[in-house]
Amino acid sequence: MDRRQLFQKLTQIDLAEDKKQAIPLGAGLNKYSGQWNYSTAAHLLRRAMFGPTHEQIKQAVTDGLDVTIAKLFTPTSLSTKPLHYTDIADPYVKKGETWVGQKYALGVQGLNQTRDNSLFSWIFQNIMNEGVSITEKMMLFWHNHFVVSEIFLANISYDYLTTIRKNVLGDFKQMTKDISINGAMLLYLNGNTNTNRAPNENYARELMELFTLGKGDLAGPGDYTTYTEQDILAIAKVLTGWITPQNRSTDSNGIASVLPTVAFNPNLHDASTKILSHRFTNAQISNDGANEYNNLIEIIFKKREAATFICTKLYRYFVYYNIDETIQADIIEGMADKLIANNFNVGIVLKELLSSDHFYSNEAFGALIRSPYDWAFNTMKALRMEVPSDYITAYNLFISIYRTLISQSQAYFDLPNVAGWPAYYQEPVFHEIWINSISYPLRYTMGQNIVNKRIGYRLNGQGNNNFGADVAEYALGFDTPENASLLVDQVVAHLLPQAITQAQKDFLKSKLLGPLTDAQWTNTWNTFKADPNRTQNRTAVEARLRPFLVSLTTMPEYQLS
Amino acid sequence: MKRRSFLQTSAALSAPILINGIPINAVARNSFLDFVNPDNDKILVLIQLSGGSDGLNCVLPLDQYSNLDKARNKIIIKESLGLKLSDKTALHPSMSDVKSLYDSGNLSLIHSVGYPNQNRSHFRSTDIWTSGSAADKVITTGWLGRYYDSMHPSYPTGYPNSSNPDPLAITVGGGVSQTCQGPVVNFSLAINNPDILAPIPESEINTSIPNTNYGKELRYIMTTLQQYNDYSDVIKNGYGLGGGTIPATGNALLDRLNIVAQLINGGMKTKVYVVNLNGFDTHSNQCDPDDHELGTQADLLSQLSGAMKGFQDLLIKYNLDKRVIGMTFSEFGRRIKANDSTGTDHGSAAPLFLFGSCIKGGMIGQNPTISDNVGNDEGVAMQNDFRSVYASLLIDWFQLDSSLVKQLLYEDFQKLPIIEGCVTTSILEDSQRDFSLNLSSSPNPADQYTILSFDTKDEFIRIKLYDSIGSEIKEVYSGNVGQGHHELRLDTSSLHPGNYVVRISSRTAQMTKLLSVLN
Repeated sequence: MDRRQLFQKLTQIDLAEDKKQAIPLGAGLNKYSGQWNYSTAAHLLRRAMFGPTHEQIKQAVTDGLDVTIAKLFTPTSLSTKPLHYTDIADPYVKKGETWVGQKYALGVQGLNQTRDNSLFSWIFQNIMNEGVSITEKMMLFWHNHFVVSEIFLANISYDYLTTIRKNVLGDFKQMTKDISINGAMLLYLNGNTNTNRAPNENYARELMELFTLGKGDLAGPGDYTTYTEQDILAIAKVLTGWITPQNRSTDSNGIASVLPTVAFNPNLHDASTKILSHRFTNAQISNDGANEYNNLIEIIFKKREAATFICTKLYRYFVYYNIDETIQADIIEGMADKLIANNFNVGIVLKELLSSDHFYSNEAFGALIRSPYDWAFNTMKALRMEVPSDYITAYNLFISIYRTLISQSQAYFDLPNVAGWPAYYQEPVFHEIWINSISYPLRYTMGQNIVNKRIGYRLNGQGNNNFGADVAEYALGFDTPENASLLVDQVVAHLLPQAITQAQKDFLKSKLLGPLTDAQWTNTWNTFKADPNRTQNRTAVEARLRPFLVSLTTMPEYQLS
Repeated sequence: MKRRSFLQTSAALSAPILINGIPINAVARNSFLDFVNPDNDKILVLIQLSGGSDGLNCVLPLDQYSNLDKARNKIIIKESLGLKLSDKTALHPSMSDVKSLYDSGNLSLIHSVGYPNQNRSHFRSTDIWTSGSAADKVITTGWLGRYYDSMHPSYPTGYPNSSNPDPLAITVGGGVSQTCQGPVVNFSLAINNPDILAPIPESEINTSIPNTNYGKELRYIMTTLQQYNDYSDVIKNGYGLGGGTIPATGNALLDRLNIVAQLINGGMKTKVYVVNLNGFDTHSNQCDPDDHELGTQADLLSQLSGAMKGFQDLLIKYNLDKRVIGMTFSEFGRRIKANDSTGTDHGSAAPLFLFGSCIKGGMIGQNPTISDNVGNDEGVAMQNDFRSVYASLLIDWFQLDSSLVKQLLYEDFQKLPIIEGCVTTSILEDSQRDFSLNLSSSPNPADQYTILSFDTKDEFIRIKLYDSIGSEIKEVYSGNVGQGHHELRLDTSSLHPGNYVVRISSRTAQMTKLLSVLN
């Protein structure tokens, strides 16, 4: 059998076999009681955070499951705010200071872009600097849930992130209330033009369909089981009156500026009593002005679907996309029970899910296709890319990486539509959408650039292209890097979710050795270890580690987590 | 979610079932091949307009103008500025290129295309359009995916091969297309810039893939990598043979269609190409509040229009125009009434364009009827089922037997006169077509009842009643009728007051009528 035939035999999907496999979980959300080892710890950290290092995984093995979960869910706070980092003259913000809360001067060429870029870079910096924590993964989850896109007002976008972060591991109901009157959302789904004179139902519809209950089967004209068209019209009225005033002003120097905020204008609010459909037992919402949206969210969250819908999304994000009847009954419904019992505290439910037997079962292990962000941050963080200490360099570098990832179809504040990234909702392929004949070559190129330390940016015509993984430092973290076979084994365990074949390991080892023998590699390594600051020694090991790591990060297995 | 289990049942219907390891439809396939013309070299280019394109500003019903103006005064296109296709119908002023396609007989405008029980979710409605399913059926395969699956059940195993050296379908600028989703694999290959295609070095492959979710996804990724490597040279070569890079035109959609033209010109046997134009979800700022002929929609339609014409011109230059047709589609049209944000919310049916030298130029159907008291949630009523368009293309363009098409689309759909010349059409002679069912309703507005009257041949007809958002209220009649004039009493006493649509359809024709119901 030649290579091609072999390949075809292997990739032919036997549906009947798949069916047999896909069944029982039994244990459901019971706590995982199996062995706790490097493989399980790596699985947990890969899913729950961006780019766990070998050292972090080893620590998690020592800590055990409960302590690691506690660490992941320890609330974090950010020590920085996004800074003005370019030479563009901002009348209200000096270079090196934050623009958060500061007026935005009109008519300054490039100012809007520089603030937006600063925000995106700052987000990337937060992800890169994060240790063992689930926070940034959850920030991305919520961004994909409460989608806003292309806001182009950095202050408003920043406020949105603050709103999300406030309950990032906590109260989903409160977050829904907050986001309903958040400036970015009011702009994105036209809540700010939703008035008693002319309701705009855009937000009301998505609030039901995409943010809380989900759309059920069509049960009758305009009746989607979970809610009806009548409800959308009524809910749009409840949400009337919220506006985003620009607060335009002109200072003593004649500079015009804006500082958009959120306000409630009672004159634009529909003061009538809103009547919901039988899907909400014909509940009535009487006029309550600026507090009315809270009453609405309370009514929506009395429905069980408010819990099952978000649990389904959490499951798809952290475990796997396929939800059959057994998973629905054993896992999703169990999560929903827990969520309702804990006043919609998402953190409690996630801790249980990530500690469950099911999460460590064969159904979950290695089955998640990495999103572009997960793939890129894993490659940079796990391979010990250093974050430049100088913020200007860091911001320029991160905005360049941000742009690279746009072409792989994932970007903060640039989502394809209000439903978020199709990988999290598009039947039947889901996560497979991330991998296609456009994205795979882009991952290959980016992986090469990270491993070969060739990512960078251009500034004032100057190229600065020497950022990326520190592969020598990376290898130093392992126990016996001087032994080529053992190094391959350990790197494979660190970076790939499941075991690979001996032939695959041999291939990777051949990439590591290149023209060297095992003994020559040992020598090369030991020479480096003896004097790691000598450039020549470092270059010699890097020259061998790089082809090995490029091969490994290009493997289909590395696209999985 | 119940949706999931439902979905699995429906997917199972089209998944190959194994008996002693032999897929059943490997046997069935031979018979499928009897129903297709093996020499067919026709190509279909789909232009997906994502977001829900507003049809009423795109194709202006001049005979409804005063009522339309009442409903959407804040966004309506000035009557005098519409580009007239006929006394009654005009195009958005930014679509002069489409008008020239129409004038040269290379454009078919199909009025009010949609489906019963319109779903106003972008995602669900996109799924319905790409799957070619009824609104109440969750089908996860694409309408073209099923076509490919009937022809190539073992794909991607053994592909590319000597009889199928090229990708079966290609999307340019984006991911793979849901229209080409098969039960197991997607039949389309996504590309961006053919110039930069180069194989990715492969490692040793995994020879012990477990039968788990991990194994399933690993196989998928391995296959994607292998396909990319197998096809990247093929595409690059085809592109080069076709003439290579055409400099950017400033119209991103045209740039993508130019890539398609070069690939076809390079001799690629790919039958379906899909490109996408996003941004039609115009809840706000659909147009400039002071100058309705400018703004978001105008820019999009101008881009679309220029791309359609530019692509057709290039095909003519290459002498390929008799092998290629293009079709636009969008998940829904928009509300008849404008909202307060100089925009429109999600609606129902909308016009659809087909273009190419083999297209029978003209219009199919009539302008939508706009009442003088349009409700807030009212969309344009469907006249032509989108699956009629699909069926017509599969039968008359790809030359599939109608029995196979019925299988692919789950039902028999009326065939529309879209294609003219270029292929031998077999099923229905155009002379047999009869668009004069002469449906009328009196009294209208109806108080307690209305009498529907219509003319038929000796045939099967169906009459259904829809509400103003396109939900089916009831089937008024279905069955065989004799040739002649008929009258039918429709009791309206139990209906809520408001606007409704009566639709009559036969195998060859359909007609809709607006019905107002009083208190």
